[in-house]
Amino acid sequence: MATLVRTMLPTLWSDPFASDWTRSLVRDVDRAFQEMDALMERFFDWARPAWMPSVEVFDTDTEYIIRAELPGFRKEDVRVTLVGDQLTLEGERKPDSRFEQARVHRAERWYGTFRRTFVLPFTPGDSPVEARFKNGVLTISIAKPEAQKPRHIAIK
Amino acid sequence: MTKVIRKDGQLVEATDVQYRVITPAVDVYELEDAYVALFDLPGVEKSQLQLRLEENRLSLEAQVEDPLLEQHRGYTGYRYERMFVLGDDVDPNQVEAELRDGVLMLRIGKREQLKPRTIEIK
Repeated sequence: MATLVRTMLPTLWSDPFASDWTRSLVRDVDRAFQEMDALMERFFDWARPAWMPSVEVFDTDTEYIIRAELPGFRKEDVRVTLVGDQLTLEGERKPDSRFEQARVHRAERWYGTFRRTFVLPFTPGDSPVEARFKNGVLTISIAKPEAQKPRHIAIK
Repeated sequence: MTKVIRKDGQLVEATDVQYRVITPAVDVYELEDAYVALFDLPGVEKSQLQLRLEENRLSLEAQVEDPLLEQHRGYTGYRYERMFVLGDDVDPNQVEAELRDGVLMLRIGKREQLKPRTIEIK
């Protein structure tokens, strides 16, 4: 944005006959925009999400299933935490150190940490919760408490 | 093969409708003597993966049946598809593949004469 102001005011910026007052005004405006730029940059940096693994949620009659794609992760790299009705997945994928020195031709895969929280439609309490990890897919099955299971009503 | 009309109006083969088609993300690195490609293929087992090399075209295909997707989303499963054209500097006879934890590592050797060589001074 500061660049924009400078291109918008080229004559004032370079005019040797502009008064000191005009020049100082232009400088102030320019500085204000520069500060705004920095602020916006910081805001967007903060607002930009880290990568998020793809997740699929299935609501079956007996279970609530959360399935996350975590290719290249091992069991030890992922943590699953349940607090009340909130289930959090977090983990980290590190780049392969064997290719640190290599020339990169394509880089489409993501690396780094992620954290994703799901609010369940019920509080599992003592219901069995099972997490399985296979071929880079994490599947968490949360058994529904009796009260959450659908009841079929007979029509008289 | 039966043709059906998809929701977006396109005429496609019936088998294409039942699988969710995914283009897998890939990293490609160049080492001194080889190229290494890493593909994200979550959910894929060795038996479901097909790699084909025809002339200089390398194609990858993996089809996974998925009962949960079938019950809840109406797909039979998902399929990964990707094709690459290999450069002249690689040797198609030197391809190694390894699938682990949903990541395929493909190593393709460079042609002998293109590898950097240190010349000894006599």
